[in-house]
Amino acid sequence: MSAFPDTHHSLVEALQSPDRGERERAIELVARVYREPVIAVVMHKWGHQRADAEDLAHDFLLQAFDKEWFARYDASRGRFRTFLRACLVAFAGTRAEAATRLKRGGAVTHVAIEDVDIAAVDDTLDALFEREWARSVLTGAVEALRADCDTAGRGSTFAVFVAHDIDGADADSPPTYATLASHFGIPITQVTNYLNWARRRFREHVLSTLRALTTSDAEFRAEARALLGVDIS
Amino acid sequence: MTRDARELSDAALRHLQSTIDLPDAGPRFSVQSLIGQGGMGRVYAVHDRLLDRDVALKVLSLEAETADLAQRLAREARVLARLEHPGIAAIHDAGTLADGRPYYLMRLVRGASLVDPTLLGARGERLRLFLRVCDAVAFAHARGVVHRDLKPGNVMVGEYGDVVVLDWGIAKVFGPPSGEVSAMPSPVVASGRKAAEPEFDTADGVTVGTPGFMAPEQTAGNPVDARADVYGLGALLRHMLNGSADARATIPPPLSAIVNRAMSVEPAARYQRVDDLASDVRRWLDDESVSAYRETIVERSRRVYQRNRVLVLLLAAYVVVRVTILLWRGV
Repeated sequence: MSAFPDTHHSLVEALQSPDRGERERAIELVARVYREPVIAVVMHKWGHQRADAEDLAHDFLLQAFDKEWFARYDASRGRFRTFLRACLVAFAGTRAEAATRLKRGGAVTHVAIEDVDIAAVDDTLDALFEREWARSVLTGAVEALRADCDTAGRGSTFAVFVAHDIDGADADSPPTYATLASHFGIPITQVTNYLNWARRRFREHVLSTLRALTTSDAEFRAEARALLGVDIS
Repeated sequence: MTRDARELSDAALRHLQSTIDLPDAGPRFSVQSLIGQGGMGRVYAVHDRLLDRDVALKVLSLEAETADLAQRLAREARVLARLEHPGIAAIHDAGTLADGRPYYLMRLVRGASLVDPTLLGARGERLRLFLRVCDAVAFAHARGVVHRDLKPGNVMVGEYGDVVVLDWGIAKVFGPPSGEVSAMPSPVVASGRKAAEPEFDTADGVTVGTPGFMAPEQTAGNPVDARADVYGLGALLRHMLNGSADARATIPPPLSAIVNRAMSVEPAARYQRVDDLASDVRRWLDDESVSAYRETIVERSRRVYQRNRVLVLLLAAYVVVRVTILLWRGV
């Protein structure tokens, strides 16, 4: 069985769906995954404090959904993620400019999403946005895995996963399977089984989120490659 | 255990990113490390707990998983299964992982690829390694398999000097599935009988391979036969001699001629079989004339002298002695 289908429903279509439930699910997903990357970019580029950046992120996403900016996304010009980031830069830049004008007594200007240049974002911002996007996707998958484990009564499985794959990654020397087996009072083979199960579910959640966040199979694969990029040891 | 997932550190993020794609190899195998990746899949070193040995596991990348690529991986496994040769990584098993991805297990080759030929030592040593690559490719041709992607990165030199040709993912296969010598549509093998249709192939007009090592007919998306690999071997030989796919200034003229003939634009102008190419290289190593190069009288004399130096010197000494004796008597 294939790990994912060859075609899937477009995110942009879902955001414009006449079905209110589908539309709201799509909006909720975009807001959940992109909120933190948006906040990070705003803090980095415009030097806002977190509270101000959160307000701006909220306004940006609200306006984007309200004015259906994302409906103008053209897949042939780049990834949805890149388009969203470019919209953000245009929005926040206009906000900053408007604030300056207001101080001088000038008029508020409108954001011209039509003129958004996807390629105009600098590399540092691009890397930051991508890293925070990856963190956001994986964070969501960890939370979904936790929910799975809670539902299935597999608290130990989640604990082993966190100990090895999250806390263990932060440690100077990651715990061995034997250490974990001793700590949790289970056989080493059980540690292997727990990790295999948890990683499989974690992987499914990540891919499912990516599938929902992208607008074509090609974009899905490109995003998966970006997310799964690994170094050869 | 609860955790605010927003606290995922950069280290945890990197670890999880690399963990997602780890193959779910089951309890028998433990994944050791990622040792290679390409457009189609990734290769991991895994430990077989049952047999207590390390093997290589090739699995389709999660992001690359399509029915077409899954089929290509399965094809590659079947191609390897028909190629039991010391110069080709033996396949141990194939199937589908618990996460749904196709995979196969093969011999783990430890060593270095030919990407950096300066690691390989003197020219003679490189040529002898090249001959072992030729042996493996010639064997594959005899089994009806054309590799189609011969390049430095696909040739591994093991710890003990063993040479292994890797990555048969875009190989073209002719003839029966296994066991029998197949009909290869090269002029040599196919002479006197009808050439077989390819068992596996890419769609018409589709170009697969690596620029710089790919035969012109392959680049153009035209049908290929064993002579496409002769071209690839020529490019590989040039790389091994120079350390560069382009420069050729330091190659001795006969070897340069061998490279040129192997890399002729027209397949008909190339060596028609890998064995012919290997034979010329072997002859050069043995200080004999090669079919691809017409020597001048001076070059021939020099080669004959170098090859038979002792005999020539003895002969010369004999002549000098005889002449001296004759002159002495004459006086």
